[in-house]
Amino acid sequence: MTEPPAGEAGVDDADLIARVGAGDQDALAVLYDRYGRPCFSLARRITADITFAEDVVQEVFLAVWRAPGKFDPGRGAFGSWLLAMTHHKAVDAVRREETLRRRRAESADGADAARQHDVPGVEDQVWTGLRGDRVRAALRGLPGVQREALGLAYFGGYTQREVAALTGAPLGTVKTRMLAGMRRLATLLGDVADSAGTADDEGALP
Amino acid sequence: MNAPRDEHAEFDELAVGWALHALEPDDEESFAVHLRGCSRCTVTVQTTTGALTEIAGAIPEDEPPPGLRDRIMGAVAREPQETQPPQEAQQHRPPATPPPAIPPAATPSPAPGASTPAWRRGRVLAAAAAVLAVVVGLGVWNVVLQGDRDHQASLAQLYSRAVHDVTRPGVPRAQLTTAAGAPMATVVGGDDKLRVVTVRMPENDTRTSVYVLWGVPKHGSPTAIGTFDVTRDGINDTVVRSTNAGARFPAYAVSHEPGRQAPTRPSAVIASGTVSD
Repeated sequence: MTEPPAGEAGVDDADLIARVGAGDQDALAVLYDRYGRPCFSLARRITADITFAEDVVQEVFLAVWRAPGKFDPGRGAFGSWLLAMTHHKAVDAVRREETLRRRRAESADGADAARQHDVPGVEDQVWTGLRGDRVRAALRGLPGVQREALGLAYFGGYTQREVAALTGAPLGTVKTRMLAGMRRLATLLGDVADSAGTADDEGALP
Repeated sequence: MNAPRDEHAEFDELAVGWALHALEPDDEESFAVHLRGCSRCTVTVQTTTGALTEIAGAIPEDEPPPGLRDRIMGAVAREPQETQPPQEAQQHRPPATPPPAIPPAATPSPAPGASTPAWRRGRVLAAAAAVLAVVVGLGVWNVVLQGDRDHQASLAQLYSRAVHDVTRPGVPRAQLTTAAGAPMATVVGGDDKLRVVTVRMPENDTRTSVYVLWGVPKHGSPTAIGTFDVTRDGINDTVVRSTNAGARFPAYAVSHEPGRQAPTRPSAVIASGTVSD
């Protein structure tokens, strides 16, 4: 998780959120200074468009401004919550903008086109461009088909059914790949040795 | 897949899809109901979200355009804040523990002395606008996914009729929202018959499950008022006949229950809200 930059007099996020709840616009500005950059980076990665990414980030921070009480500090860090919201809104923006993609995903030609457009982008610009040895190693520890399915969903904004169409795999297989991939990823990110090494895609689940 | 699957395996897969925001609309709606009562799926969603957040935080960072901060702060200066009390986290951050029998009402009680006709109308219209926003979103979704304009038109007609009832002066009503504040249903009336208008509540299997409308007293346990089914996508407008002599309650809740009978206590509460009239 990206840490907020030092400074800002050491005020923690929960205090800033409380101030936002009291109508303090400056507190929201501080939160933007801390998290605007990772939010924008994620939104841009998903939308592949600076203007869309700006709109997503604005939507996210306006949502925080309108209803700061929706963040519950008892359920995790503010930054995690904000990035999850950013992902959700960015995917929604992509889907609104690319409605034809859903129909395109139904056809084999469209699948080829989408695969050429999206998967190399995920592989080249994201998976191999990650900072942080642990995250990079964890991603490399996934079987390719699991990494592909998760990448198409998380960074491409595709639904499970669309991922199935794009990859030519049955929907059930895609769902299993995503579940197995996420379990594996969580384990690898948790620094727990995975004795299965590079297990088969459809290997037994815990 | 060759490994044996336990009965919950399908939900495990949906939980990951939920955290990825990668479910089809139908799956998303039905899984939302399941998630509220399933601690195993809650853990799966949280674990998945945590791992994804770590990845998101590790991607190469781009500097936002320099004007974005000013643009956001300018929009903030023009944007009113919601005056609701803190609520449960957003839908994609479910409670870490199963929901209480009756969650805290998400709709604030009217301020004393504020119950003027104008205030009532404004409040109802605000609720109607919130519902309309949901319906419009649904309509767009349906057009995108199915090209089903007739369905959208029938939704609009249903909604229009429901709003007409909701805005009739002098009739008690309660807007029921999820813990995250999303409108799910409006309960109109309060005697022996109550009208329940649901919005995007997942269809239930009428052979194996049922929705239950609960009256929530100021003190004591909730009382089952009656049962109903949701049999169509979008808006359902149903009448629930009270089984308890038309007792009135200050708040209502809806739960989704296995079987076809109302239990003595609600299990998976979908939405709740207080009465305004």
